[in-house]
Amino acid sequence: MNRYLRKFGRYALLALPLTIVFAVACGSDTVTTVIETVIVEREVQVEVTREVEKIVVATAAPSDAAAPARVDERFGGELRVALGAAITTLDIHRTTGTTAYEISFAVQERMLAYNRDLIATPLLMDSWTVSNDGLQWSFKLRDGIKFHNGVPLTAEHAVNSWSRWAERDNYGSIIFGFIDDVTATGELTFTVDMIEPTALVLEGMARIGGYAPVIMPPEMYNIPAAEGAEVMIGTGPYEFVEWVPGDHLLVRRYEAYSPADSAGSFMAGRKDAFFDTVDYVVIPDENAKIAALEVGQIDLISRGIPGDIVDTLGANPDLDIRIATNSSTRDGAWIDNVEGPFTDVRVRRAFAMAYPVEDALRAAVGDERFWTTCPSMMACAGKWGGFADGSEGIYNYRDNGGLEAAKQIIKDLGLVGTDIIVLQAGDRPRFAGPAEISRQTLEEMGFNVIFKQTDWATQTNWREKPELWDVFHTAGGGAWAANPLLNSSLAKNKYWNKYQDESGRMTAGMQKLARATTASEQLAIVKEMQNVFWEDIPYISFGDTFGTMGIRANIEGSVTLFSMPVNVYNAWRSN
Amino acid sequence: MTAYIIKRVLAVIPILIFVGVLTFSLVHIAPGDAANIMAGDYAGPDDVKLIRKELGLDKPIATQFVEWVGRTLRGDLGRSIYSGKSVAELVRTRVGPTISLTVLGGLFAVLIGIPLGVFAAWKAGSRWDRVIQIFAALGISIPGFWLGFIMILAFAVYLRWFPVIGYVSPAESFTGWIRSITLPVSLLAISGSSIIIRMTRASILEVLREDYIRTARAKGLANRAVLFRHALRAGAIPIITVIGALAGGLITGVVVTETVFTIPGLGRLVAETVKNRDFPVVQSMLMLLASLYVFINLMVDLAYVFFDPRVRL
Repeated sequence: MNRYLRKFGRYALLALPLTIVFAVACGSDTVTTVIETVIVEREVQVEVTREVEKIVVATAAPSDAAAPARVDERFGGELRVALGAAITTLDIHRTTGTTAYEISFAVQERMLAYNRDLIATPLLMDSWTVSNDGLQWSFKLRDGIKFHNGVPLTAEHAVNSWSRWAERDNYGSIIFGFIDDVTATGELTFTVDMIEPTALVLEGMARIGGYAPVIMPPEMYNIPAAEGAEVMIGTGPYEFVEWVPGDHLLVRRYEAYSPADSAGSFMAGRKDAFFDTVDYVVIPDENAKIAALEVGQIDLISRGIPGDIVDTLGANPDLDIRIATNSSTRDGAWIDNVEGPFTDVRVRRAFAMAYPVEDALRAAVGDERFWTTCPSMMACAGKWGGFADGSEGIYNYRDNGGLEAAKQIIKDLGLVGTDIIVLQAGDRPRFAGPAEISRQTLEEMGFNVIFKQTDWATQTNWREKPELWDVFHTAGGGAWAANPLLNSSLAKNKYWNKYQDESGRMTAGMQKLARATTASEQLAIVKEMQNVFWEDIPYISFGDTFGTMGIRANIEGSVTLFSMPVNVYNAWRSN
Repeated sequence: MTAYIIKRVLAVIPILIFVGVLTFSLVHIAPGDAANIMAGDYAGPDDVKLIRKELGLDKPIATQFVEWVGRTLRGDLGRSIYSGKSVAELVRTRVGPTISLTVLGGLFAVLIGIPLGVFAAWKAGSRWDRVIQIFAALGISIPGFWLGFIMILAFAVYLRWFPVIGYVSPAESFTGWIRSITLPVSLLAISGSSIIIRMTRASILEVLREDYIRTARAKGLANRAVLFRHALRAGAIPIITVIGALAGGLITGVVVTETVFTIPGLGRLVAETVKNRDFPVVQSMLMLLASLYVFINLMVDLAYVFFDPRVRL
């Protein structure tokens, strides 16, 4: 027996040191943190708008031009940013995924970039001219810009990167449909020869959403897709350090960064990297992400703070919880235009008539602080959003017969009891809530709803096969994607709803819009397109949702605009 | 015994072939692929088709299977579709946290489970027995992810004793390592020890009713001698079996634990690659885990010989 006791005693002894260390850990009253806060007196006069209320409704950047003018001192230490999903690729020309996009904002740059008024302004570009007939554009890049690998930026890089982007991007392919040739004419100059004039060229260099027209060196744009990029190289204020897939991606201040001369404004102008490093940490679990922000293990959640905990988190004096009321996305129910009941436009109209969009938005993101509705095809807060043109009657179901009228239509069409497949992605709560609203609405209309609960990856596969679904839920671009040409759901067969545009009027509208050169001309065309939208109902558009951002209160200068994650430059850690 | 071991090792080969074919079939039957995930939410059908072609995911399944078999036979476990990194490299960078969690989680499960199980059996029907049984029942029935969140809330958010997320390697900071693994190891140990407690208690209780135990007591042997020299050894076989199964359970348990505590280990790698349909990594990871499981079972079989002389291999 003693032999066994001795054996157990040895095992127990093994546990002893661990227990002691455990006790030591328990006895400590601080949390080990990798964040090193460095406070430096800044002599530069800055204007910092500090919010008085804990929960800020940010209609514009709090102060995106408020950063000190130069990086005279190194302060800020490390910023830790939470990513909700793993980074799938570092080749931003090959993904529209939001995580890679978020990092790309810090590392890579466009030739032109949107300022806070969503006007495309020079970033890598120095100047340009356009011929009187609009058939030739001549561009000149800024001198002295180097990629993070030391290679000087040339016109050839710009031409190749922009052309590569256009091969993928829907908007890019529209623009390149007008372009005859893009040629590098010198070290820093290139020309764009047009087949016919269009006002889209500059917008195409600044594009947000979809694929990003960032400029890369050959080491990146020559990587075959099958190999995958292991680094992200650009000209931005931060340079890539390491990527541990599924765990984190680290960038550090790029010391040789050559900023634009103009004041920083959203994505445009001067970008000062005040943090020594920015660590993007993948935290797949929502609760862990919030808890890590609360205890200061991370500094920033760029978007996706659930609406139901905004008030609770807002009560924490160490946190700054913001709602970006300038329209992050346009949410909706996408319907199958090529198979099943929705191929009949009368059924699509009935669905729109009956749809309680407010309920869907509430189910998606929370109470009225987090969304808005408007009788508009495009995002309410966008350039061409929020206007009524007389065609919006069908949008407001209460004034248009609503559910009762929709039920009658389904009855008259003899479709009562017809099967309708509604997909619900359980791992995307944002879209899972509206799926329940769609189910309820369709059942009330008289359909027999087959409700398929699955994960997002499965849903993305099923939506490729029209016979496997009738309704799924997602979101498109908000105010930052205000141009209907950016909306592939409106283009024939370009998105999963496979809009057919039987009359051809939407396609014609797009072609006209691409050629329109004055603002009034463009507005008139968009109104025409909106008429077609409410007649055809390519998908059900709910309204605009606002992004939510959570940030440690000692981070200053960060921007809450369109819920775009542009928070790592011109931002710093305060006292 | 040597012949037995060789036979068992050779038997692993058809098992791995079976597992390989099964996992290949399962991951390709499962809907969804990497092209859709990589393309992102705003991409349309043409984008996905293009990416699928570039990644070679549009090839017929039979072709992909032949290519995969060829690569595997050459010892090439493949590369991640997303990062381009080899599976071997991904495993190398992720294995440290998982070893820390599984080894310590298993160790504490055994250290807590066996003594408490023996004690509960010895004091069967007493208040102590009931308390231990309630602990075991709760440990088995409470979902790991829920308990993990409660632990985070209590010890990391409110008390701030431990970090909410992340892992620190012992080479970087020993105290940091202890802090980062305390909660996840506790979670694994609680669920693991609960199973061991129940099995140990049942097994010892059965042995304690045997005639030879009564004889040993009648001979005047001390309680400790009866319990540890006779009862525990005789009841060890089912306990070892459970510990073997527990080792398998730990492998699957780390998937949940590493996700809840944001620890970059193999468990999270598996969860992420399944979610993202990173087929080459999923296939290789499942093969590796299956091999590990088979190895653990072999160890358990060999342990029988030590504890039960009647077992001849």
